[in-house]
Amino acid sequence: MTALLQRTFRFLLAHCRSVTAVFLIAVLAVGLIAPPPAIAQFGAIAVRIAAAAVVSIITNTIGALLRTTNSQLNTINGLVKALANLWQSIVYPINLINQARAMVNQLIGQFRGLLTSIHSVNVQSATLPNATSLELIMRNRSTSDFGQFDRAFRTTYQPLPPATNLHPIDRQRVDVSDALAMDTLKTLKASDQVVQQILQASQIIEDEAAQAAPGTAAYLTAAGLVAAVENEATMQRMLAAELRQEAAILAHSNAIRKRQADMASQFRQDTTRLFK
Amino acid sequence: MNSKWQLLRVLCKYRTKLLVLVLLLALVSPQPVRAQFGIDWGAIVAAINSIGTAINNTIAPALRTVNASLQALNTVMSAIHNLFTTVVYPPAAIARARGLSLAIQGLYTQIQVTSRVNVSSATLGIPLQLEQALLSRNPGSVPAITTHYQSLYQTVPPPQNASPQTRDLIDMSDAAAQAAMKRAIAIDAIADAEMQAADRINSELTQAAPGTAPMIEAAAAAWLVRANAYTQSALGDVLRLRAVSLANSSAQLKFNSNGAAQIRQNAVDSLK
Repeated sequence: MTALLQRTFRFLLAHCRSVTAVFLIAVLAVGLIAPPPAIAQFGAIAVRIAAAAVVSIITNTIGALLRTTNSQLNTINGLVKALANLWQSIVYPINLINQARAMVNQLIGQFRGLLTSIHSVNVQSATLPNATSLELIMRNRSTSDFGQFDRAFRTTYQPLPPATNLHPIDRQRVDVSDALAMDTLKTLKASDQVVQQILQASQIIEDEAAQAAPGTAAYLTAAGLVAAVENEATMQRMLAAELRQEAAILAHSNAIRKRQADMASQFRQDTTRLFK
Repeated sequence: MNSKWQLLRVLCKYRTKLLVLVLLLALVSPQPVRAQFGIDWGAIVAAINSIGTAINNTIAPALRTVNASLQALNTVMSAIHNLFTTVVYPPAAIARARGLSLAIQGLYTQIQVTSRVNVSSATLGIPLQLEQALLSRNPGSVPAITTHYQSLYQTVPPPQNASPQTRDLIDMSDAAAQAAMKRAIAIDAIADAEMQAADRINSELTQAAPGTAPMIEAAAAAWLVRANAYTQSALGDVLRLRAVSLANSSAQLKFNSNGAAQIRQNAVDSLK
């Protein structure tokens, strides 16, 4: 082996130029013939690595995320089912909705006619023609016959005395007392009419309640509250009328007291003058 | 060994021709292509297959489960939607409820007309002035009440005409009567305002959505509470007035008893 190497070395030294030329030709030929390295040539391993990474992402990341999503969807599904059950069987059960409507109809059937007949019981009690006429007008719930009412009132309670029959101050006080009494009676005629209108409104609301859906009940409640505000305002007008009337009674009795004081003073002066 | 040396000698002998041949071959041979030495198709197909398998085994079953869950959710949501549209908030019932407010509005308009009907009845000048102020429903006419009242019912007698006790009694009674008259005007004005508010609330109700109807209901409830408070206040004024009347009757009895005692004393004194 050593001998072969020594012979080869000696041959290379002897044919140095030829060997160099052959080597250069060989290098040139290989350079021309050999293909440049292709991308795929060395990329198969990289493809396998990338595919493994994608599989890993699918299995470990996307798969895990989908499992979590699925679990959450299951939870949401359970919750929505529970919610649906709550609404359908506890909050808005059809049988109880129908029961509530039936109750409204039952109340209408049981009480509406009864209350209407009680409310319209005839309480007229006057026996003489003038008083009967006045009582009839006082209670007829009309606001279009005030002229007739004035006449009936003055026929029953007498007209204002003529100026010759009564001291002017007393005449004015009688006039204002009559006027405030008449005002109150007219206000009551008007309020009786309003009562009918409020009752009509309540009837409309009650009729609607018999057909209402749970979601529309708030409309009816609001309408009822509005009617109650209207009703309260009418009651306040009646109280205002009562205040005017009571104030006039008080003022009237107070005026008599003043008159008595003036007359007593006058009497004292006259007596003093008499004994002078 | 000899054959090798022979070949070497032959190559040396024809080295120029060989060189030309090699150069010609190098020029004639085709250019190398990328796939010249071959791609590992098997590896790539295996990689793609492994991705497909992962998708089939991991993503597809999960998506099928998600799909089933969504289907179930859809069914439940449809049932809820159906409950709300046909049972809880049926459009026909909503329209009817709005129509009801419109129908009642007509009644409220009639009530306002009825409430404002003129009930004035006085015939003489001064009483007419007082009555007009009393029925004006205008708080601005409150200060005029005192003048009209004093014109009609007179003022407190001068000290020489009545005892201090009587003057106190008269002044207190006048004050109570005038205050009640002034309050009556204020209460009428309040009632007007309440009716206007009720109208406004009712007209809002005709346009309300089922979700906003409770808000309007709350506003109406607040107004009802306020109206109740004003009614209570008016009732208080009525009671005050009646209390003053009762106190007047009682005072009259006291005056009478004092007067009787004085007469008895005078009679005893005159017989002495």
